[in-house]
Amino acid sequence: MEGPVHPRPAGRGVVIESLLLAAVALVVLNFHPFGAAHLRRHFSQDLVYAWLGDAHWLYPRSSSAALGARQQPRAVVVLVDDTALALRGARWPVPIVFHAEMLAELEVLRPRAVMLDFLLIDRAAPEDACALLKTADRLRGDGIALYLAVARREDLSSLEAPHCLNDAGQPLYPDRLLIPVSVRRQYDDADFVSRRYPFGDINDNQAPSAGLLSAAVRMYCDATAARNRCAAELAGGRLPDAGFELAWSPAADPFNVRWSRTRCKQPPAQTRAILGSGVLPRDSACPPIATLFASALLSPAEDSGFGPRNEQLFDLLENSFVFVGGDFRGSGDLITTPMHTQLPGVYYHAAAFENLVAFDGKPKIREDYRSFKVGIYWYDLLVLWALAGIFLLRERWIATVTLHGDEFFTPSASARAWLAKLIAHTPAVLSLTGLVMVALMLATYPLLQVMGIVVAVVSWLLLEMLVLSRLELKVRLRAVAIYSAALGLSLAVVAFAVWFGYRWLRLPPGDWVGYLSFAIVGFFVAHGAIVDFGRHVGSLRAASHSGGRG
Amino acid sequence: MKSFAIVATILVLAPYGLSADQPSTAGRDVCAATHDRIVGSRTKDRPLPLMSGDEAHGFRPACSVPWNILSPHDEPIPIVACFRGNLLQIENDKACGGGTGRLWISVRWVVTRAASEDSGKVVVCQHLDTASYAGTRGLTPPCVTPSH
Repeated sequence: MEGPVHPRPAGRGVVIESLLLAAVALVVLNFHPFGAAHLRRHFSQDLVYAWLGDAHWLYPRSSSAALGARQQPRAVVVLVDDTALALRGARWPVPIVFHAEMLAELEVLRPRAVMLDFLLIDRAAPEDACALLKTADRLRGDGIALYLAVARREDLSSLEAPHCLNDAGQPLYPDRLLIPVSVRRQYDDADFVSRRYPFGDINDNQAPSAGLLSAAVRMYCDATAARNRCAAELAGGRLPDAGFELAWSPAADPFNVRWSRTRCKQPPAQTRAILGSGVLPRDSACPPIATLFASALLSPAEDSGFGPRNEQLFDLLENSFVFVGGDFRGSGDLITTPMHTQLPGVYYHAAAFENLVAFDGKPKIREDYRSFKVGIYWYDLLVLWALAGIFLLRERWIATVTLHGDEFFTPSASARAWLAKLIAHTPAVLSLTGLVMVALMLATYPLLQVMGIVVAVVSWLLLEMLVLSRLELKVRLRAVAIYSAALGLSLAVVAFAVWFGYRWLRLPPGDWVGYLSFAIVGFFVAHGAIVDFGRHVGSLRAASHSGGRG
Repeated sequence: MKSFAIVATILVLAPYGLSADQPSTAGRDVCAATHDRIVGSRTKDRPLPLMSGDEAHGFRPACSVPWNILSPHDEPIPIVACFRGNLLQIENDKACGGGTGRLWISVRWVVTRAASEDSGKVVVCQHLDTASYAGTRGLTPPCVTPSH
C-alpha cells in the first residue's frame, strides 16, 4: 500500500498543466517526421467511413433512399464495355460515332447532364466528329449539358468538323457545344488510394472560371443558381494540388443488385460492424453509385427487366447526372478506393459529385489545403486541452479517494503479495516454461489474445475481491466509478468535437481515432513525462526565487 | 456413412451454389424470335433515335423523330433487317431527310410483334360518330364491330 505520492495539481495548476499536456498531445498527434501521421489519418478516415459511411448523419447521400422518393439530384454511372461495343459492331478504342450513338440513346431518357469520361484526343474524321456535334447540339436543345473529359482545353480542337451544320443550317463548333472538364486524379502517396478529389487544373494566377474545373465540381456548380460563386468558393485561392476528401459508403446502391454477380449484401448495423467485423475496412463488391451497363441500355436481351415501357430506365436516368465511362480489360482506367480494390475510373467523378450534393457544396477538406491552417490546429489544441483537463481532474479526484496514493488500475499490494507467494512456491522451470508457452500461443492465435485479456481481467478482479478488505474494495470501486464518469465525459467531449469539426469546420474524420485513443489511453503515456517536466520547472522556479531573495 | 455425409453436404450447399452465379438477365432476342414488325414505341412519347449506316461502315445517329412520323396511321412497321439483336432496320429512308439510306432503330425503344401472333385474332372496335373506328392501337387483324 505504501508508494510514492505524486503531487496533484489544483486550481490554476490544473489549467496550466492540462494546457502543457494538450500541447504535447497535439505534437504527438501531428508528429510525422517521415510522413507517418498521414497513414494514421488515412486509417482513421477509412475506418470511420467503413463503419458508419451508410449513416445519414455522416454521409447524407440520397441514393440510399428508395427510388422515386429522392430529393437530391442523383449520379448514375453508365459503363461501356466490350459487350456494348460489340452490340453495335464496334471495338476498343471506342469510336467517336459510338459515343454519338450512346448520347442519342441517352437523350430519350432526358438526363440533366451527361459527362463523357473518355479522352478524345486523337483527331477525328470530320464526318464522325460532325455526328457527335450534331447529337450534342440536339442535347443542348433539350437542355441536357454535355461535358467532355480533356487533358487541356485545346483538346476540343480535335473534334472540329468544318462545314458541319445543324438542321437549322448553323455551323457547329465543339467549344460551344461541349463543356471541357478536367479528369485529373489524385492518389495518396502512401497507399495509392484515391481519397481526395481535386478542385481542378487551376494555376496560381488563374481565376477558377478561367481554369479547368474538375468534372464533378463543374457539373455541380453548373447545376447551382450561382455557378461562378460556387466555383470560386470551392476552387478559388487554393493550392494547385488542393482537393476535398471523398466520403464513401460501404453500402451498394440498391439498383446494382440487379446485375451484380456477387451478393450486394447490406453492411451490418454499426454496432455490429464495430464489434463483430474486425477493425480493418472490408472490400465491398458492389459500387455505391447506381450503375447501368451500356449493353443493357442498348439491348433488352442483356437486361429485360426495365418494365414493359422502360419505366425503370426512366426512373433511374431522368433528371440524373450521368457519368459515361469505360470498363475495358487492359485499359488501366481503374481506381482504388478505401472500400474497393479496383473500380472503373468514372466512379471517382460520380462519387465526388455525390459528395458535393450530399454536403451541399461544402465537402470535407483537410487542414493542409486550408487557407487559415493554424486556426484548425488551434481548434485541435482546445479539444485536447479539454480532454487533458478532464484527465487531470480525474487523477485528482481519484487521489482523494485512494489510500496512500495507491493507483487503482494496478494490482493492490495485497494482490501483489499473494501473486509473489504463488510464484515463489512454483518451481522456476515450470513458471518460466508456462510463461513462454502462453506467450507463444498468444502470438500464434489472435483469438487467444482477446480471450487472454478477458481471462486476465476476470482473474485479477476475482483475486482483488478475495484478498482486499471491505474498506479497500469500497475505495477501489469508488475510484472505478470516478474513472468511468471521467471517461464518459471525455468521450462526450470527443463526440462534440468531431461533430463540430465535421459539420461546421468541414474536417474529414482523419483525427477521430486519434482523439479517441488519446482520451482513453494516450494521456496516461504522456502524463508521466509532463508531470516530471512540470515538477522540474517548478523546482527551477523555486530555486531561482529562493536565490533571488538570498 | 462417408458417402451419406458427402450427399448430405451437397444437398445442404446446393441452394447456395445455384444462386451464386446465375445470369442476372435473360432477355429475349427479337431477331431470333422472328419478330418482324414494330407496333409502337417505348419512349414515353418522346422522339425515337434513328441511326443510319450499316455493319461495314458503322452506325451513326441520324435524327430523332416521334412515332407518328414513322407511322402516321399508327400501323405496324415491317422490320427489314436486324443487327445483333439490338438494331432493327425499317424500310423508311426519308424520316431524317435524304441520303441516309434505310434507317435503324434500337429495339430498346420499340414494341415488336411477330406476324403469327395475330393470325386468327380479331380486334373489337367501335364505330365513332366521326366516321372513323376506334380500336386497339397498331393491330392489323380484321376489325369486327359488335353486333348489338
